Amino acid sequence: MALPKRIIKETERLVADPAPGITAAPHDDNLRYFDVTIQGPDGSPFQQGIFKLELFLPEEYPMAPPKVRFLTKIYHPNIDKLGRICLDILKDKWSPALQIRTVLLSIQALLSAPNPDDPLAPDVAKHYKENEKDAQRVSPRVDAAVRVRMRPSGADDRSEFSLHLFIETRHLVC
Amino acid sequence: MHFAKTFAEILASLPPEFAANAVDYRQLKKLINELVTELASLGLGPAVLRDLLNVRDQDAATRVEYQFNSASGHIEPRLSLWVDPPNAPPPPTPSKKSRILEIQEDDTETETSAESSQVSLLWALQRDVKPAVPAAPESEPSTVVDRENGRKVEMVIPLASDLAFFELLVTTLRGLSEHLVAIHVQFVETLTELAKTVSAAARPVSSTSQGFKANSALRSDTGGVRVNALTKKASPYLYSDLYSWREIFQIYVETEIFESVNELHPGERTIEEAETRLKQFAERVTARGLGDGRQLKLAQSRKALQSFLELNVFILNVKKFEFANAEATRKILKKHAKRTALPLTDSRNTTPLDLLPTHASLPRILVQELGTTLLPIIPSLEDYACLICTSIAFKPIRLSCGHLFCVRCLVKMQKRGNDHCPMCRAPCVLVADRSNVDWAMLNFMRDWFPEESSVKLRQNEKEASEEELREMGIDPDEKCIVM
Amino acid sequence: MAKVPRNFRLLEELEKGEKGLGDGSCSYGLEDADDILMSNWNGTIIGPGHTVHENRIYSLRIVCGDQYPERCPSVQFVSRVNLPFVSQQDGKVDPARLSVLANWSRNSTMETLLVEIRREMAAASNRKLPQPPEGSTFQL
Repeated sequence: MALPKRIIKETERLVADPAPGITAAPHDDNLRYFDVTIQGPDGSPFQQGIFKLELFLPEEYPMAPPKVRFLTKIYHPNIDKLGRICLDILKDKWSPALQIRTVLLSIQALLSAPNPDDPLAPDVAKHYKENEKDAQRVSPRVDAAVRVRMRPSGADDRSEFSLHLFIETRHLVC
Repeated sequence: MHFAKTFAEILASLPPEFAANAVDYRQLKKLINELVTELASLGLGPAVLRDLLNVRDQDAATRVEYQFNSASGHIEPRLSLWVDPPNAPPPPTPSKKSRILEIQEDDTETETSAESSQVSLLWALQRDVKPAVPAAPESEPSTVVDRENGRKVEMVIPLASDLAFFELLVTTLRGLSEHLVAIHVQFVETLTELAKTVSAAARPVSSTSQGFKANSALRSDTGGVRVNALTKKASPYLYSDLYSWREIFQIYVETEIFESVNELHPGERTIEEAETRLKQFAERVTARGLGDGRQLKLAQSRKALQSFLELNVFILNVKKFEFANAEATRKILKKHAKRTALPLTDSRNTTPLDLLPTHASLPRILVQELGTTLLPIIPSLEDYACLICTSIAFKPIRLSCGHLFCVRCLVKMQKRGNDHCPMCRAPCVLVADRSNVDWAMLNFMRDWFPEESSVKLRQNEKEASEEELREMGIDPDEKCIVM
Repeated sequence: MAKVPRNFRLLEELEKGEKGLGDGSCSYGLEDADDILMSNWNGTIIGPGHTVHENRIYSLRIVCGDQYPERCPSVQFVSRVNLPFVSQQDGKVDPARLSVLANWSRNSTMETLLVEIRREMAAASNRKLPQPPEGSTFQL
């Protein structure tokens, strides 16, 4: 079946006008499957890290959320060992008005604001709750292998809508 | 290449009325030369001046101050010399003196005798010098002696050519601002005229039918679907260039000629970049057949397109002109400072750049006006797209929360049992029904997007029937369905 | 229909496996819970009743390669078993001799694979084959 117009449009913009600190490129042989990178946000324990992710738009997209997973190991209470992400907008708080771009920005925001109350990775969450400083100290070490130099991101954020949604609905359900 | 030449070339490439109002770089340069001679004749060659200006110590025997004063829109440079009164013995500063003398000997521009003492030499020169411009306000060296404190005397050294230099610069820049204001007015007039023409040439075809209102909010069409409402009627307004103009404007917006809206590199483009992009825009329009009778049916449209392109060239010219003048001003002030050693920033941290007449960057304003006056004449599809499928939101359903989506996407949401508005999460999707059709919007869409609406309608029907088949367990992608 | 890429397909299978399959006679899970590539899996089959396999528990290793699910996974019995499609040297399953592997399609899953093997165990030709002692394993 032909690729829906919406996916074509989203892809075009992702490639031509990427959000700061985020890249997403579709596979040649599967245009619903994207290679993604996200820069760790400044001021977060993941600063200076570049994280690889994969994203897939299921048949029902945008009625159903995209599927996203970290490929880079990351020490974060809401991301498990297989890179699966606990984020409400990827589950019951999905809205078809959200986009790939806004999802990736929300994931980037999750890196800045881990939510230890609703963990996918209970051991990491416990660590975060008991000693946030120490947990944050561990994070960069785990991610050191993939760390590369990068520019600070600072451009304006046009995805306010999604971030509002994100902030509004931060109580994660897993 | 010398800037004077570059500047002349830029001006030559612009229409003559621009050059007539440009910064007179050559004349300003000439005045700098005169100033250099004038200073030299006072024994104040660059080396001497630099040295004297460097004296920060308030008690030094001799020091010089250069200040910019702005009064009633003029810039008055003021060079003053602070010395001990001639009858008082100069405090002993042998090292300073000898250094000045040494430098002076090296300075080929000054032909003054290095034998006499510095201070008395200056005094002598002050008396001898004749003002170059008799009408200059400070034709006599004015002397202020602070007898109470008793020690320093300020002498203002009249520099006729320096006054003339800043006078010319200020006058030109003021004239330039006025010229830009006139240009702006002219631009707005042309733009308004153009907007009228485009409105007429690109109005919806259905506007010829009875009861059309610009926003057709009141058409009482509560009937069902009207796909082929656009059968051409025999009327003098048979043609509309609506779609051609929409495409022209869309290409225009996409080309981002003067400003980039890219998230990583937003902002104003350079002249070269804007010029290249303007050319690209014209080429794309031509390549799509939008520049001639192939796509523009109406003669007035073709003329309007010409006028539209000219307006853009005009903006580009203003951009070049502004840039060239700003450069000329910057460079000539730099040259002034370099040739004379009179600093560009005075002892009070004032620079003439702050005092010169300024104006808001005109090209940006013009681009903005074009964007607010002309482009919105033709509703853009983006503003009427369903946020879910990104196609035109047809048929438009207005949820009770006020958000608008296409009927197809809302049906899909209802089938999934999803009650939350995709925009605001208000629980109002499941209760939406026929009464939620926004008829005013529906009519507006049919008027302004007749093709998109009917394509979307067919698509909706096709999708719905495929969905039904799937629900019955039949794969609609299969070539042959055996019942 | 949208083609689900390998990793997301394996995640789906993992989640299904974690919830439990059908009647519980077959199950599978990741060999290493940290394996981000999700290549190596452990499978378990409870021998079908009224056959020589009754009450026996067989473990298998399943390896899903890069091309999964376009290409079939490779399967190897850990528990000793006597079946015509299982090598008696190392327990490897010969894909040519097991129809679910020979006719593999991207719609096939590890679940269908295990269920098919279990059905083979109950097939008339296999249900009474003499079996090695219970609990013995192939020398790997």
